[in-house]
Amino acid sequence: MNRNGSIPAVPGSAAGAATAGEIERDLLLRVRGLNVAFGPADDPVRAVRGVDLDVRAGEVVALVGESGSGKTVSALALLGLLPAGARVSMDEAVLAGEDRAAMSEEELRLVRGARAGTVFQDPLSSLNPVQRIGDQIVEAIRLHRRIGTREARRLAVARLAQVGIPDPQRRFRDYPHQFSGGMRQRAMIAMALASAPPLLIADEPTTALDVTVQAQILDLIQELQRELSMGVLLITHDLGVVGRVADRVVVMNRGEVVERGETAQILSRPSDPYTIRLLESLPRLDVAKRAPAAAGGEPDGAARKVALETAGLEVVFSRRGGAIGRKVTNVRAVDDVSLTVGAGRTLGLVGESGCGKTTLGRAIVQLADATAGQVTIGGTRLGGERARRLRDLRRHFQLVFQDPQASLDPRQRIGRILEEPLALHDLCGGREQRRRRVVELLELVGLGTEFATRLPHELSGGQRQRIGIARALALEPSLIVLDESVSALDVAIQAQILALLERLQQELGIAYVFISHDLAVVRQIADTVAVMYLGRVVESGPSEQIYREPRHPYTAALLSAVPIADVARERARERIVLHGDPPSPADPPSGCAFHTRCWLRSRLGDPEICTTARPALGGRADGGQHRAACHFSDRQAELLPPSLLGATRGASA
Amino acid sequence: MASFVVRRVLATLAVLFFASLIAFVLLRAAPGDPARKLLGPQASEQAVSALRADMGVDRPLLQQYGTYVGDLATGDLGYSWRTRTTVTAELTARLPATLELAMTAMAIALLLAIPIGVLSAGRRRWVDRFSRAGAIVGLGMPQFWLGLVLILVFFTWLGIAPAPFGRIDDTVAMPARTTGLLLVDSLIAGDFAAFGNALSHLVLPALTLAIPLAAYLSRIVRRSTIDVYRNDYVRTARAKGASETRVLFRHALPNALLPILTLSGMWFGELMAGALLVEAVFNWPGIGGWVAQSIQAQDYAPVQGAILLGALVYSVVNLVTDLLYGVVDPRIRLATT
Repeated sequence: MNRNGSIPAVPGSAAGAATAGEIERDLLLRVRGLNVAFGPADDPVRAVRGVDLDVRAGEVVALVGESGSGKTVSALALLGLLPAGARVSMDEAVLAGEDRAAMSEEELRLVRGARAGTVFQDPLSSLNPVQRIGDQIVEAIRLHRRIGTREARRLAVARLAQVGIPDPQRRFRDYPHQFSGGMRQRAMIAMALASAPPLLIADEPTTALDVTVQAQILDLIQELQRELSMGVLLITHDLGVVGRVADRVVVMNRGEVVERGETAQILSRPSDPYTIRLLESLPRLDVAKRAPAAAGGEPDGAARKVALETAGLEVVFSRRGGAIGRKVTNVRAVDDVSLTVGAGRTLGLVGESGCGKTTLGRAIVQLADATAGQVTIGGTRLGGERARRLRDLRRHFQLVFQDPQASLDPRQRIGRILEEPLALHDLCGGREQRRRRVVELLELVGLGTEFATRLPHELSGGQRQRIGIARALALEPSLIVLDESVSALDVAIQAQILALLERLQQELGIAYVFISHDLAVVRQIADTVAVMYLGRVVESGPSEQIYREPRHPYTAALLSAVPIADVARERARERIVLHGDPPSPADPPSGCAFHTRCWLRSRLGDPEICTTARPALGGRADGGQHRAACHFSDRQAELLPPSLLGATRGASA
Repeated sequence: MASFVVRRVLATLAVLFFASLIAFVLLRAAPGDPARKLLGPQASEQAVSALRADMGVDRPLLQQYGTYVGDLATGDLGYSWRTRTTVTAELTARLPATLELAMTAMAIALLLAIPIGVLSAGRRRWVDRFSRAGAIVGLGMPQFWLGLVLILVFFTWLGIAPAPFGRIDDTVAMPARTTGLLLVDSLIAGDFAAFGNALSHLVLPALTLAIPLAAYLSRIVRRSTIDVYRNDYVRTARAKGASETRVLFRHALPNALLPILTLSGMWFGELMAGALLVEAVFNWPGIGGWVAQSIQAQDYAPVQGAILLGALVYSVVNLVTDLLYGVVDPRIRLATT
């Protein structure tokens, strides 16, 4: 069976270009009519249906789709890595330039690693935790080449150096847990490239990484791809990543290819309705939040009610070490944070992982103990309450978690889950009233009444997150902290949830603290933004100003690292590359904590003050709300690459 | 690392202290008079009270405890009035027999459980069905009964096992004692006849102890192997081009056996306790029977010694497993550096 007929003929598509039987020299991957089915033969789940793919030497082909679209399954099927029970069929297949259909299991095994390298999504779980990094690379080399251990070691160290691991001789002997996320992914790439394969299959290689690290890894992949003129099949859900590195794009939906073509053409003039929808729901760095409905002549500034205020908030974790617990290590997870969120407004909290944004969110809702400073919510100063009083206060501030699956009790029906907070706070007198409220809540988050009797596992990810929001809404809080609450969702669902959050804010006047690593999402929802680095707020102010005229070099670097789904602008952008990983919060650098990675400082000729004095979060001379903690924030504008801001100003400029 | 060991040794000393206190109090809280027990109902009241004075049990409890702890501090575990020997002498003679039995049983249990568990985790369903049925039977059988059945089959019917009396035949000369473990001593002495004979005596009681443990551990190995195979790094190994054998031995097993290490440590104590019954069935000259008789005779010193020893063995074995964990799992070894 061949479903080619259903694929719109698109210029640039390689479909039908090759003649069967002989294999073109630069053709690394070709499959026609790939089908994968799971489950019972009489009622199979057809995960992949009639997929055609081509990858040639020297090109990057992106396989794009939402979760469950079959993109990973397709790649694993070609590599023969699907679990037992998967039924794979294909009309024709070439893998790493050889006829896949004619290969035995053993021959296919030897192609893996030798001629087709693979990089997976989560570099921590993809590396063997009890084997040294170096030994895992040595293994990958020696599986395919008959060379001695010493020679293989030399090669492995060279590979580690090639992927940019500093001090590879020493890091060779490290275990995966001693590497940072970015370094692990570099090690994964070193391993995939161990035998210099002509084909690299990268399955969401940057999804688990911070944007700054993502930028490094994408650069690395691109560099190596050019150097070794590899063919790369890049599996991703991120159209920004596609815009940055892919030559051609294949879009998958529900197991089928719906569109294919040159990257620039697909991203700017998509023809398939699914692709169009995907692009439309993509949050953009250059599209700001719609201005909040100006409530009749609302006085600006001071008169507006304040939903949340933190003053000098600090959370320090202490860990005891040493023989009898004498050595105390202090980690300042949140350090002197003062923020204000107006009623019915949204504060976006951004930063790399480990910057303390989650701890700050937890400290705000009194789930982490502040070691200094205060939190004031709706005029009530919190902290030091007795457990009972705190429980009563909790109805005013709620938290929505990242993983909707893990935060719902799998054995409780949705109705029970939503009723529980009502009953705990004794809000709606009788059972009947509580039921009515549950129905109301379900409608509020756009779900039908029938969901009350369902169990969490019967819901999709987006539906579960709606329940998480409904649960937070149940107590009519004035503030909700959303901790990466849309990060695990596909873009289309993410757009729906963001729209829901906006609607609820307008209807109910709730304030949000929206914690996210995704700057484009934050741009879409936040009125004000705070950027955190190593526990401190380094820049804060109105979202518009931060995105258009960042005044801290870290913010500029973050914005520069976000890839955008616009080929022309993305590739014309000059980028600020941040090297390395954030330093350990247990041992932050002196002076300005960012000075070890600061691009601005090096352009200014490494001024002394950055290493000696910690800059205060200061405003501009005009006394606006826009503050930055940098000694040279006024000089940044002139040194900022102009094309960088093209991405964030864009259409709205 | 050093600080970890120091902390654990201090903790072990605390455990030993409380174990000694509990042993002391519990034994004296039990009704009955040890001197009367020892001399029998016919003995005169005068003789009994003379013995009581000799044993020191007529003194106030606090004073007795003081003497006991004072003796302990000098390494004196006390005197068994029933056997008229020092507890230290008895333990030196008997402990190796029990340890040899328990360690052999542990080795057999692991040798059975690991391959069975790994095979049951594989794709062949019938292996799993068999091993599950076997595990249920193995766990369900009372140990003394299992011992009797093994004797019946291998000694009485087949005649391939030696008579269930002791650790070695009387006709075979004991190897010179260095560790007290016959297998080790005979090997040191190069006496292979003694080694073979001791081994043949050891097999049945060790099997009796090992089978229920193997049944339990094989299920844990199976579960653990299945879990490890779901990990991404197994897929990475396959993507590198590693063969299935290599995936199993290099990547899956080292990770799958980590929980087994902890469990083995915990179960070693159980084996020592289980030896009590099994030693009785096989007339094994270990500490089991000796402790049982001492309890009946209300012979305080040996029972207190045995309880202390149990606590010590348990602490040491757990310390060793924790240290081994550090050796095999770099995440623990390097966590503090």
